[in-house]
Amino acid sequence: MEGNELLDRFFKGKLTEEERQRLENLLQLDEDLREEFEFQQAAREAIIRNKHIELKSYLRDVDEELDAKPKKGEILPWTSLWKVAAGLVLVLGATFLFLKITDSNTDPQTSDSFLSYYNAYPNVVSPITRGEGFNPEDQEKAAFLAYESGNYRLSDSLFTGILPYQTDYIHFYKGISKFELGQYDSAILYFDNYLYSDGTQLRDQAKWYMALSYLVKGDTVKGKEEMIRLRKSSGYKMDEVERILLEIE
Amino acid sequence: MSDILIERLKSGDKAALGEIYKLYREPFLQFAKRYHQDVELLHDIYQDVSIALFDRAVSGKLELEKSSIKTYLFSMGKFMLFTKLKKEHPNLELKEEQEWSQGFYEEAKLFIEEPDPRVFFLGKSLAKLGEKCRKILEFYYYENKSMKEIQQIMEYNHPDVVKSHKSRCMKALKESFKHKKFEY
Repeated sequence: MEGNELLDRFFKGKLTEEERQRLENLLQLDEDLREEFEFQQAAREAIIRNKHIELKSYLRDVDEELDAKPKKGEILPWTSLWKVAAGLVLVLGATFLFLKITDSNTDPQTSDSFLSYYNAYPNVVSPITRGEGFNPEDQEKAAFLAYESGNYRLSDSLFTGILPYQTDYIHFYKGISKFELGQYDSAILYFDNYLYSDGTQLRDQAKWYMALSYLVKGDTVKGKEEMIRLRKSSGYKMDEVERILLEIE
Repeated sequence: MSDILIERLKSGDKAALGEIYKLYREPFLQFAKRYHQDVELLHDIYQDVSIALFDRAVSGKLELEKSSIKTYLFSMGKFMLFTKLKKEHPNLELKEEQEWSQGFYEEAKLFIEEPDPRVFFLGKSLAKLGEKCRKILEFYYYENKSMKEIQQIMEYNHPDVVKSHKSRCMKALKESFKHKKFEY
């Protein structure tokens, strides 16, 4: 009983120094209490993260509302528009070069050659009918619209909003978005999450993209391991897997 | 900014968050553009930092003064931006590097780090719980409210009723969690 009371006080941030030490001792001795403590910590984090998702979606609506209001004096003359367009081309070019340079930090040759095996996986789970009226409530549709149009930063952000509420495949497509953004460690995590989930439709694909993520980021040991695992479990991308394994040898 | 707005923020009023968000959005974006040009990313960061401010306010950890809100949004926003950029591009040299306190990282952690699989699936199970359960757990773990306060807000007869409800909700959550195998 005492342990549970101390846990309550811990989560309320009310522990005195003496109580904190007592709790630490108890946690070392009592395995059940430690399990309860870890469970409550994970639950608390999940509760806060879900709240963040709700607030983020609300602030996105506030943004939309703000951006929909035209401001006075904001209509640019045509000459300025050309300047803006030219500037945009420069910024995009510079960003592209910058990303190229910063991404090539790990084993550039190997990574690049593996990258040639990569194609973003098509949306096979949430069909989009073009020309439909946009429904802001339907975040999944919005996320896949962004995904299909190649706006992976937006799809990444929108997928986050629906992770707890939607089917497991969201993890997979969020992983692909992360891959496209060059965030391979995160991509691996989401493919891994998909594989931990009950989803069955895209398991081989998740293994394939996870293996590729390792290879592209320069971790050939893990990449090879995952490729071998994929080869064992199915014939998905059999030719490519064989070629890659030969390349690594 | 009025004191009433700050009080509303502390009481967990989402609309108050929206008002503060609107108030500092343009100044923040102007400020952050000095460090990075990707407007979409900057919007994203500004949303996160506003939510971090809300976290502080509702959990009673924030000594809110009118001037400190802007300072918090700007300095925490800069920290989040730098940390995200560093994570995405480890070789990136950022000007104006400075010493950040550990407190910054602790508050920004949930916005910067990805959740582990256990937390992910607990989040999903939570979404499947009933509305009452979700509210009780949110009041208790997110807003740091006592059983007595939750009893008053949710109009229960006694704090003990809230306590037993909370135990039942946590039990249901634990059950959903037990059947989950974290391996494949």
